[in-house]
Amino acid sequence: MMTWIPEALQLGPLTLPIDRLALILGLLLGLYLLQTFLTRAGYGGKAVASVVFESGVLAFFVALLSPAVLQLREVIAHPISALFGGITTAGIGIGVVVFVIALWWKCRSIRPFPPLPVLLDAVVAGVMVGWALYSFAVEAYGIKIGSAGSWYHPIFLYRTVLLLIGFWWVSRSVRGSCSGIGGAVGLVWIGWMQLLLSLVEANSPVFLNLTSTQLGGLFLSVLGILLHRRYRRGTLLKGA
Amino acid sequence: MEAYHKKWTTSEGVMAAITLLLLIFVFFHQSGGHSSGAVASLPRAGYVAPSLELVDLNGETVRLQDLKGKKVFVNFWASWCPPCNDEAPDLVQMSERYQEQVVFLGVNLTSGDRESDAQLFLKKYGVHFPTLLDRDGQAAKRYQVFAVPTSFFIDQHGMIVARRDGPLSRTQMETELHKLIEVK
Repeated sequence: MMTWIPEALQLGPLTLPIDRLALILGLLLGLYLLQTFLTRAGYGGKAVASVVFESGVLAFFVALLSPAVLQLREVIAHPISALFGGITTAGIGIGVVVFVIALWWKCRSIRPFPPLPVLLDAVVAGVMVGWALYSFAVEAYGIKIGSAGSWYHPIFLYRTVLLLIGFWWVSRSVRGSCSGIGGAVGLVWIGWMQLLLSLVEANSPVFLNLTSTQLGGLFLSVLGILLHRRYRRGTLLKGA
Repeated sequence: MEAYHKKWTTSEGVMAAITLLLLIFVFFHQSGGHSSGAVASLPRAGYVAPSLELVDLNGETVRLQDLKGKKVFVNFWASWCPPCNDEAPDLVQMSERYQEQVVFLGVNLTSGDRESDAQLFLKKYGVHFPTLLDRDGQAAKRYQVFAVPTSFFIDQHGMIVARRDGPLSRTQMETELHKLIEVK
């Protein structure tokens, strides 16, 4: 076995899978950075972070308990497996919808609400650091290195390092004023990272001979460049 | 002023050029055609399934390696676990429905269970597919089984298509089996 990070933490009778623990810690760290960036930009970072957190918790429980409505017969017959066997695809869809509605509903009370460029900078920075933490804790390997031996590309380490470099670049681009430029640069960086890592990952092409990772990377890079043009223009107009 | 806004700055030009170069590079260096041997062995989706060699209730050795070319569903269970009892009727039903397309294997966590209890469990639910005995707990360790039951869906190349920790509802089980059957 090539893992050196434990798959689960054993706390007495309680077993905590590392991937889920890392996901929660990554989300919390990302949320903390979102709050910090917004507060530094002069907006209610704490209020926004609370709203995102509450909406996320609500969406999670709705998704988990969605079989109670969608598969009532199964829940009555096998309550344990139907309700706690994991979140279903339909549950994820419902959870996303609930998250968006709850977020929109709760955000109405936040005054002044941060404008989109400020949010973009804060969200991208939060996502980068949270994702870096998650990647580091969950070992993932790519294809074999060379033709001999049993060494594989440690893509979880590559991803962590690239995300942290990207975060440093975003922080430099923001430099105290959240204009959206940092977030746009971050999207471009994440796109490049995905394109690079796809070279050592084993995925099947889905469209135009490109894998889903490559298509996602291309989309983010192009979106980042377009947003960079848009927000750079806004900055210049303000300056004028 | 307006004309200046329409121009691309150097940094935007560089970003676009790098994106284009990366795209051209990945297009020609397509990573989708790697054989399963080029992928690491981990008990997770997207990786080659770790080796599994255990004896069944009849004392015959079953090797996962020997099942290459077939789609395999592996379910780790114990007789004392309530969710396993909950899941068993659906598992039996699915194994009968999809026996032509998928090989079903049960792995009893014998290191923490009694063989006599396991036998009673199999009789109670009418389990007919092969049940392997993990007497030393090595298979569970290799597959990092920390929740019971845990299920693995393995394709014909020996790659794990999906891993599910904890019980599966009938709908979830059937959905994952359909995905496995559709893998080419």
